[in-house]
Amino acid sequence: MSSMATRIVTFAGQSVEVAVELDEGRKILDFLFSDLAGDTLHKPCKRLNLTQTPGGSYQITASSSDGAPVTTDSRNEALRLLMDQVIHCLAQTCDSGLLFHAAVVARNGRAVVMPAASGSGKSTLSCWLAKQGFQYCTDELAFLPTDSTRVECLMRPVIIKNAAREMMTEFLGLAEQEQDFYPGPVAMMVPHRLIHLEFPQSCPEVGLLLFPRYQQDTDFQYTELTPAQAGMRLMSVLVNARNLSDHGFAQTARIAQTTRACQIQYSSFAHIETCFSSIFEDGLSKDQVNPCPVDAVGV
Amino acid sequence: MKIPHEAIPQHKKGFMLQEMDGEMLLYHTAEVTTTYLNPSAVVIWQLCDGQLTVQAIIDELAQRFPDAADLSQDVVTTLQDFLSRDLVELTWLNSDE
Repeated sequence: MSSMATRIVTFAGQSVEVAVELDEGRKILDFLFSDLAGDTLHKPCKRLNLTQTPGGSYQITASSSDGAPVTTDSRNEALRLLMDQVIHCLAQTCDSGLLFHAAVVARNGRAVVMPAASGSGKSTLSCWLAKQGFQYCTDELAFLPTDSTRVECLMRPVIIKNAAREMMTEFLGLAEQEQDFYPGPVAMMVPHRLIHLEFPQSCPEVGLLLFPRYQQDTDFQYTELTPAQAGMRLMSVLVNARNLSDHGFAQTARIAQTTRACQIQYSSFAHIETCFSSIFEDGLSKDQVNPCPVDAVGV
Repeated sequence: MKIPHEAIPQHKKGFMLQEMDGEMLLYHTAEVTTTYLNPSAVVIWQLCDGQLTVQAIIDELAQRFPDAADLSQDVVTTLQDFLSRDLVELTWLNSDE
């Protein structure tokens, strides 16, 4: 017997209403969105419904007519896809700041922002850093409100691709808690409170831009980036550019110019350990911040 | 693509620029593309003003950097790169003829 559970999810100044008509709908909403509490200030831009069809499949539909329903036979995959759809809705309408595809961890109120495309190893790296004492903030989206250097993070369950499942379960020491995972055909969702119990109480200040790239069987490479190099990489993961008056170019450039940035290519965490302190401890020192004004020039 | 030295390179429209420590980012709002220019490319980009021919750009750089070896190939290679990325277009003194 299923009943309808609904919740308003708010992030980056945008809200989405989510309705789940399945057994344990409320538990599902708690699992996915407990840290994305809705508020009454923002009218939901869309309503998403997760239901089960008479044929037994799981289907996600949107209140507006755009887009075909998303369907899957796996309940857990449906939860992952629901989270994806929520993120898509938020990104589609967010216009009050920069929304980057990025993982974030924090320490002492300072954030390591790791912008990267899917498949770059953001989730596993952020989990590893959480095990090194950082606070886990997100493995997916970072939001910088206009004219702010404090980053708001989309805190959600960690998505671990199935290829990395065994390694991550062992590495995170979570083998005994596997019953709490939500395994699907593509990836598993791991409750983020299993990764780290302590979360930032306020939005951390951007302290370091770290562009990670996991590549199997590769030598470790560490490269300091110039502001322009960092800016170019940031623009490539800015997901709401089209909603912003100048596509977020000036603010992105400002962040790139005022924040230390580096890029790492690695095939194991042992690589990162070799220069952990120079990347993370020196990198998060306030002395590294070099505020410079940036002038926008139009052509 | 061969670039005649009498051609006049000119920035294409629609770019926003950010210069940072001698390097530059070009963002094209319609194409939603970002291009990074290193310091050498920035110098050449700044001379693509729709007034100077390719030869005049080479001469200008030879004056600015008298110790540098022949710069003509570097300039042409960079302009070819600009053209392939749609950053500049070529015009001609008598383009209506």
